[in-house]
Amino acid sequence: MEQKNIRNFSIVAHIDHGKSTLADRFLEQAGTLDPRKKRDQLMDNMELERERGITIKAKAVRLVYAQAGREYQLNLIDTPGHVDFSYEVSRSLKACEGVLLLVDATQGIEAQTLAHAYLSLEEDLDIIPVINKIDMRNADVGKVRSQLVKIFGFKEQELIETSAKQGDGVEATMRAVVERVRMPGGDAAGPLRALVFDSSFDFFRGVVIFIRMVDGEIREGQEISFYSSGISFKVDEVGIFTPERKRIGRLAAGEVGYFIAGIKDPRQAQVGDTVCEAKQRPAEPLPGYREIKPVVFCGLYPQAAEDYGKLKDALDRLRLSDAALSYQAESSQALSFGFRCGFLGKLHMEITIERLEREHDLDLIATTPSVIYKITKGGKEWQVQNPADFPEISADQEIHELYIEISVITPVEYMSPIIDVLKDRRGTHRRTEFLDPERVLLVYEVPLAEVVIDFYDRLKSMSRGYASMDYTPLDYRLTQVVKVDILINKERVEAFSFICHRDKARRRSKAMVEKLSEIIPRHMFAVPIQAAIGGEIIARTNVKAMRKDVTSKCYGGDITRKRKLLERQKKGKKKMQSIGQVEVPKEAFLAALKLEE
Amino acid sequence: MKKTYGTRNTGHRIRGQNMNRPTNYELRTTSYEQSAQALYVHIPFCRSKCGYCHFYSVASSVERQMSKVALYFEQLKVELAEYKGKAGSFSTIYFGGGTPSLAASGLFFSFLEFVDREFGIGLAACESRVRCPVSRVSEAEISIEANPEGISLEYLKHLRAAGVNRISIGCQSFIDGELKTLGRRHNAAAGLGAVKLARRAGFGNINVDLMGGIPGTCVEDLLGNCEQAIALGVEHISIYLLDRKEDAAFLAGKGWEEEEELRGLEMVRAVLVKAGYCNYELSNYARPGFACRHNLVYWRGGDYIGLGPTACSLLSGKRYKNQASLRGYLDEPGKREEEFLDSETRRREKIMLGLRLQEGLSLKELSKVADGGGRDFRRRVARLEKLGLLAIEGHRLMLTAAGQPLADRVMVELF
Ligand SMILES: Nc1nc2c(ncn2[C@@H]2O[C@H](COP(=O)(O)OP(=O)(O)O)[C@@H](O)[C@H]2O)c(=O)[nH]1
Ligand code: SF4
Repeated sequence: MEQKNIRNFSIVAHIDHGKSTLADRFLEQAGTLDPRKKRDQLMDNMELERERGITIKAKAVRLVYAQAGREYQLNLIDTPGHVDFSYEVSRSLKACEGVLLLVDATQGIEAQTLAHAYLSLEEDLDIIPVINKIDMRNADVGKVRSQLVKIFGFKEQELIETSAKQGDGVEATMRAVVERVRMPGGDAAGPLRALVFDSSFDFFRGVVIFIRMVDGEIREGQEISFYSSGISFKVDEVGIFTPERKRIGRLAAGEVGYFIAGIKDPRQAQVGDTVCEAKQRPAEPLPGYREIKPVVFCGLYPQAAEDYGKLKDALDRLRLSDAALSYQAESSQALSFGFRCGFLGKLHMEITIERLEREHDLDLIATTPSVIYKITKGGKEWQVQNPADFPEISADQEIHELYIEISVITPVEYMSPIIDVLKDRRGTHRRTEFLDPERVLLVYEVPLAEVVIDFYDRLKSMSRGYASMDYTPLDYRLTQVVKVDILINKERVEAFSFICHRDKARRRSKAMVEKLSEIIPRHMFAVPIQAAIGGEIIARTNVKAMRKDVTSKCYGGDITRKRKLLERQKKGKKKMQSIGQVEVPKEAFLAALKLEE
Repeated sequence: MKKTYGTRNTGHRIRGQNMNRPTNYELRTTSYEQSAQALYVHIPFCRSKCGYCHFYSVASSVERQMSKVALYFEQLKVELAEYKGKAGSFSTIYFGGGTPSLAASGLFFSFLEFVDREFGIGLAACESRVRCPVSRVSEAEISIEANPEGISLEYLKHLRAAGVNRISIGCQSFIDGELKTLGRRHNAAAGLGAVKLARRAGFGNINVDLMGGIPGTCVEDLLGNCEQAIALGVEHISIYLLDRKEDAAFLAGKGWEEEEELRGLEMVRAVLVKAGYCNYELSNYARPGFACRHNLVYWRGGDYIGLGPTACSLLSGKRYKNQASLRGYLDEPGKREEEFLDSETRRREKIMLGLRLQEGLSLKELSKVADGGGRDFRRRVARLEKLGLLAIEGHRLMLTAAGQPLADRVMVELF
């Protein structure tokens, strides 16, 4: 199709503002989706994502839309919608010329609305503001309109109102896409250049690569290569999603679709890379994306040591469809063999663990999440993300940690407790902005480490779910962090070690030893639990010795039952991890992970 | 330290060659594994159910149900007859409950006669001053559990005459308030009276059951009860602490604190040992020679036969459990579940039961079911020894004073 009849766009919205619902309406409107057969919210296709209401993998769907006698090809590129995933949002946006910025009329602008709007502005996209859920009784369209005008400088007449649920305003929205989103640029006659903006994995065909065509065309049978690696492949299949996969043989400049080229290793088709003709390497690649680097880490261990192989397979498989996931084998004295895994954020971590457990039938133990620290000493610099590798305290070393800019939008009434928490998390105030008389935007700079542990849940519970947040990485800054070791019965248990700011070490240590003392059962001797920095004990508690455990009566009619009771006790013991003479239940490791600030 | 527990005697002299039977009980342990010599008879009737009780019994006004109880005794004989050939003579019989003392004495008389005829318990006419032409004595230990409530001298004498020579009286406490908390139908005076009556009826081997850890009481209350039992001069005292694990529902979180329980156990032991009782099992105290031979069979791992609903039997490595329904039992006394005890299970039971005894667990016996006591056994024992919870004397392994209150833990460690 001619470029002038093509529009490439995404819908961006805060979670639950109606993105998926609106996408479904588009599919129906364009006749690609039979409303009678429609599965709900087709683009959200992973069960887990549906449950959590978020999308992990972006996909693209081609819609055919006729207006004023002309047929348009609208490519709707799905974006994921959560705070951890702005990287993934940005790579989807690279494939677009415009976005629909969707705002829930009952909620107004929230943190991710802002984040997405700024990302879109950075990418210089045409932004169409859409106010959704106008059918709802508690919709306050007027207020949202003025927020959009005030905060982003939209003009009144630009604002579109929809009810994605009832289908109102959908036609107007599609028309706006055609009219306000610019056509894709690119040289249709030039040599092939296409941007890889996503990939997924098909167990029969290998990597399915999503591309946004820029120059030239891609055909089945063509020899292509990836700009960065230079490795070439023969294209087997070229197609689009409607939303079903549909083979069409070729894609032209400006179009969006996928191709398959028998690639078995997803790392050979990196997102952000440029696809070009094998024999005609262009002078310049397309502007790619930043490489995604994990910033949150934790150890993952199978509950049952014999599941190690199964966990490895599961990670290998997951990695095929989740390039952001990284992992390497590690072992721990308490948990034996497992993997140190890196994630884009805490949510990414939680979803990954849940998928591993559910889709691969594993029981996992995850250690306390940590972030990357940069350490410099004697002119050398290296990175540490595992408490186990953290160096001993010494005067001549410097430690830097990653700071992020966090934006929180909250109803004004929750503002002051949220500010308290942000301060407590070593946050520095950047700005405060009233979006309207009831809602305020707080921008702070805080260390990422302070956010990975339990911040989001705190925020949500403090604001009864009304506050929202988003963050972007800033830079590494000098910091005073220490490694705290936990000693159980005088033995250091690496799995419980954590890194935290010096000022907070005592408080967190106290919380940790207390939590552990609640979970570790009483033994026949007292079990001291201590927290230490270097050799200095900074918190301690005792699990008191069990002093009485004896069955009074045991006679002939009751022997089997009594024996079974003891056998059950024995079994419970077996499930625990022996550390020296002490049995530590697996929950202890989980509780340490969930330890609140 | 070597202790022997046996029947000192029952106050009767026995005629004939039986006089020469050994009274040292310990030496005969192994014979119990060849054929059951212990018989348990469950009498599942009570006036009303006590809140803390875990035993199977039905509350019924016995006056109205006399015929039913008589029928039940007939059924017991039917069930016992099934075991013909699986047991020789019995050297212990134990009527437990429920409340056996609710049943008419004549029923015990005829039942014991039946047992003697079919299996042998050495019943013989009594040569004592009890001038009753039908009076019987037996060299077997024949125990009955009795509730203080509603027993008369007359009744007790009849039991004696039927051959019963040991009585276990469920006093529980000699403090009215405690008895009320427990929901017992008798008061303290009735308990004291019952013990005295039993003595007057000629029982020379009397046990009193006492209960500790009752909500709202303290260690001193329990000690007072012990003193009272000592003063009564009973031969045997069983002391049961209400338990956080087993009696959680009854205690509803109101029982003794752990420290109290520990102190209670310790002080009770001190008081009773000082008074000449031997703590021969975790919860049982006896004057020398008066250990309950019947219960020793269980703890030493001997075979036994149990009759009546919920009763268990252990015969050649298999345990049988009768159904837990009186009605079902009356229809079909032979219906029971069978459990095969493999060597690992037998090993665990030996540990669980043997360690309850002051004499401890015979390591030689244990080695018969598991080489060297099982995997890692030595190492585990050594660790517990180091913690001061176990001691080895000769070929016997026993709990130390510190180990006793942690018995279950220690057993689990060795399981
Ligand atoms: N009343 C009403 N509900 C809507 C509308 N649009 C979406 N919803 C509901 O809002 C919830 C979240 O919508 P969804 O499309 O899943 O949001 P997403 O997280 O942005 O994809 C769902 O329960 C939808 O049914 C609308 O226009 N009106
Ligand atoms: S009288 Fe004895 S057997 Fe009957 S319910 Fe009470 S405690 Fe249980």
